[in-house]
Amino acid sequence: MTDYLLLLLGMGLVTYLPRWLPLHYLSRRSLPEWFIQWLELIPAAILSALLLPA
Amino acid sequence: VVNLRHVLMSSALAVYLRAAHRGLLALYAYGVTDESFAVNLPRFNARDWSLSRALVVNHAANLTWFISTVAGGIGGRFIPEGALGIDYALIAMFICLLIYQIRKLIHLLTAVARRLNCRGPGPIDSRQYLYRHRFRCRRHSGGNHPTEVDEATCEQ
Repeated sequence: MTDYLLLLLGMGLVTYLPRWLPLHYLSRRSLPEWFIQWLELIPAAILSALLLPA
Repeated sequence: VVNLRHVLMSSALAVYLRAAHRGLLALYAYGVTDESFAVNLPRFNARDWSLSRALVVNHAANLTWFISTVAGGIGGRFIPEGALGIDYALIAMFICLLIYQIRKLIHLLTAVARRLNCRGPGPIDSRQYLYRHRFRCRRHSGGNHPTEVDEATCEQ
C-alpha cells in the first residue's frame, strides 16, 4: 500500500516539475529576443506533433 | 520523454508571466495541459489576458477532466465501442486547437514541417505506422460507421 502511495506521489512530482520549473525560473529572467521568437513557434509544433498518430 | 513537451509549454508561457506572484505561478503550473496551454497562449499573445483568468481556465478544465474521468469510469460500460464517432472527437479537438494557433505564415510552416519531420520514412517508423493503421482498421471494421478513409487504408 505504501509502495503505491509513493509511486503515485513520484509520478505526480515527475509530471509537475517540468511544468513548474520553467515557469518559475524563466519568468524572472530576461530572455534574448531570438529565444522569445523561437518560443512563439512552440504551440504550432506541439499540437501538430500530437496529431501525428491520427 | 513525451512529458518534456511541458517544459516547452511552460517556457513559452513564462514570457507572458513576468512579475507574477510565485505562489500563484506554482498553482498555475499544476494546470498546464495541452488544451489549457492552447487556449491560454493566444490570449496572452493578444495582451487581453491575465494570470487570474488563465488560472480559472486551467482549473475549470482540470475539474472537468477529473469529474469526467470518474463519470467515464462508472458509466463508460454503457457506451458501445465506436458509438457517435467518439474515436474522432479527440482528434477533432486537437485540429481546432491547432488552427487557433496559426496567426502568421511562419506558424503554418512550423506545423507542416513538424508533420513531415514526424513521418520520417525510416523502415522502423513506417512499419510501426502501418501496424498502427492496421490495428485501427480492424477496430473500425467491427464498428458501426467505418469512414471512407478507413476503408481505403484497409484495402492497402
